[in-house]
Amino acid sequence: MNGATLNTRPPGQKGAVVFEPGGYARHAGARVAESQRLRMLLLVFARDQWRTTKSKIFAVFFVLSALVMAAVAIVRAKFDVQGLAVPVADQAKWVATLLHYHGLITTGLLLVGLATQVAPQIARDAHEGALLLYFSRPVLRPHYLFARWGAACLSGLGQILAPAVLLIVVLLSQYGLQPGGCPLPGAAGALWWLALLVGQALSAAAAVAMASLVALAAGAIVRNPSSAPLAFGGVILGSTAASWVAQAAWGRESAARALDLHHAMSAAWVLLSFPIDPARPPNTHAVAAAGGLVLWIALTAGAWWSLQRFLANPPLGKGRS
Amino acid sequence: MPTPPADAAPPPPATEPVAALRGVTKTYDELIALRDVELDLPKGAVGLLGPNGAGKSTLFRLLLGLEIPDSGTVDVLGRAMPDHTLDVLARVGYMPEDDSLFPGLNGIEQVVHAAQLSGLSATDARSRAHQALDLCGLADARYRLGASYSLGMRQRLRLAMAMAHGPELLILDEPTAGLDPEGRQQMLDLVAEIAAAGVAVVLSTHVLPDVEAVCDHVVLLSRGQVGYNGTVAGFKSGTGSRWKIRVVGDAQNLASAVRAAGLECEVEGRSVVVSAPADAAAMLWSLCVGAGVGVRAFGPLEEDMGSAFVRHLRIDDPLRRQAGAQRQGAM
Repeated sequence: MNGATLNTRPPGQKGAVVFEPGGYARHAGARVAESQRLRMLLLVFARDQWRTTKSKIFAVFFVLSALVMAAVAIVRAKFDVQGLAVPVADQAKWVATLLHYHGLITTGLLLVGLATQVAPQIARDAHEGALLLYFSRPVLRPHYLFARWGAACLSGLGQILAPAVLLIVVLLSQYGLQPGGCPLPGAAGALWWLALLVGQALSAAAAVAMASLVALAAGAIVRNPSSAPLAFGGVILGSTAASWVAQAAWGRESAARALDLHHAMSAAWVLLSFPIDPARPPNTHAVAAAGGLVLWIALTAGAWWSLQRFLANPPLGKGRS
Repeated sequence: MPTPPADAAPPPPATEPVAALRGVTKTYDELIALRDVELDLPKGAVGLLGPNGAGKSTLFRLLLGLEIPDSGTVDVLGRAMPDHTLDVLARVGYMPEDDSLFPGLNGIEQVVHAAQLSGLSATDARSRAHQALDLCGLADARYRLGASYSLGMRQRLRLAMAMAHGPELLILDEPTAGLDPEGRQQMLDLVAEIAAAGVAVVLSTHVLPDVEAVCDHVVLLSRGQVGYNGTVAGFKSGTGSRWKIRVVGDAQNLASAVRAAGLECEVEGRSVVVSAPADAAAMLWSLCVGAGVGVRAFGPLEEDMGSAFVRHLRIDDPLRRQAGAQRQGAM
């Protein structure tokens, strides 16, 4: 493959080097280390998340949710209208609550994204015979899984955290370092905001890591890229429906809320920011959140087991799923 | 930080096989895919033949470390599998039989991705990918989605993916399947060129002339065992030699004389095909003289690949062997 180079600019692409046809020649250059191959695989899969126009448009909704929430915060901070302005004593609590509701919206969007974009990935690789292309090259099966999972986590974390940070910055600009009701006085209020940010990051990381693994496992179990979103979405929607039915039977302030997997995605955040409220029955926010967290951990463990079984004997070859 | 090239390791000497199987048995539930296989694959172009279910795909999977043998050892490029799978796979290119591509990527991305997975840096992968696509005649289609390619183009794309990283061993599973005659010839020329460049090629196919055109060594698998392992010329002439004598007069006279001398033969019209050692020319000639027949043509029989393939399968078929033995016993 020796040949002179011609500089061309293919349509719709950046500059590329096109070679005139020559004979076959062995590659005499260096090869990258194994750790670099894993990082490269991760980057390729991460880029894969953003390949389609649908995925790019979908990301806009995450930012849009933060902008709407920020607009609400600004309005309620600026306009001193009876019933609209947040009482000074409740400002800190209101900020935490607003972030909680924003988390519910973004995790809802995340679940839709996981169902439509992440769940079909392994199923598509199995269906299209790409697993054989990966595993007949120096790619370990655990590396493939970690790269797929890591790429989904990076993408999901970015989609949840970026709007959350945007919202926190807006709230900080409106209420200052020490909003009314802030447990930390004066300049120490900065630590309270930092705690909110860290709490959001921890909550998002836990939610994204568990949900994305479950989504990948759903695809690996059904092995069909068309059915994978339905399988994952069915689990989430089924849990929400089961929670509603159980709440109707046992009451809204019961542990039945823990069955709602979407609601429980903000469990880590709830546990961090809403200590058990002595004014409410004990089995509400925090207890339900803890129950939901346990449910997610169990699902994640099941997903891990399923993926290990899948990779131990993967369908190698097109249409052999 | 780039590491020293994996292929900087000294390549196996010319006499050392690129792959060696020792006592390999592989079963799937109750199906025995390979049975106590002893096989050395030499450098150069090797054709892997065998009917469906003979164990060719299992052999490839063992070479690629995708399966672990129940017993026996598999060495590829001088390294034991599956202990050195990553090192070996970085030096091996594989073109699968299935119509497999990475989903959602265009032609150049497919090849770049494959080359990167095999350990090339992004820059090297891109430049090698362009060269490989040019070589495979896909230069004009490189920015089209891989899924939109015709079957023949996808075959060539998969070959480009297999060779872009410059492997020492290229494993091709049915590379000419689905190609038109011109595309098939181009593919064979390309494979021959790659083999001539010093790359060991193992080619599995049902199109026997393809093996004849490209390979200088043939391995026949039948019922999970090696039925033949040797040169193409040897494959066509059999384990011993076969001679074809075209006579003027009654061929049956010569056939009777040959059988009386303890040799097997068949009469085909005016010709007698004799199974005899390669140095039996003088003896056969004297039999012709003794039988009183005129000889129009005399020489070793060259079979076409198809006939040789069928003959080897018959020889290797234990059921046929058993039936033959029973027939002889009955006589």
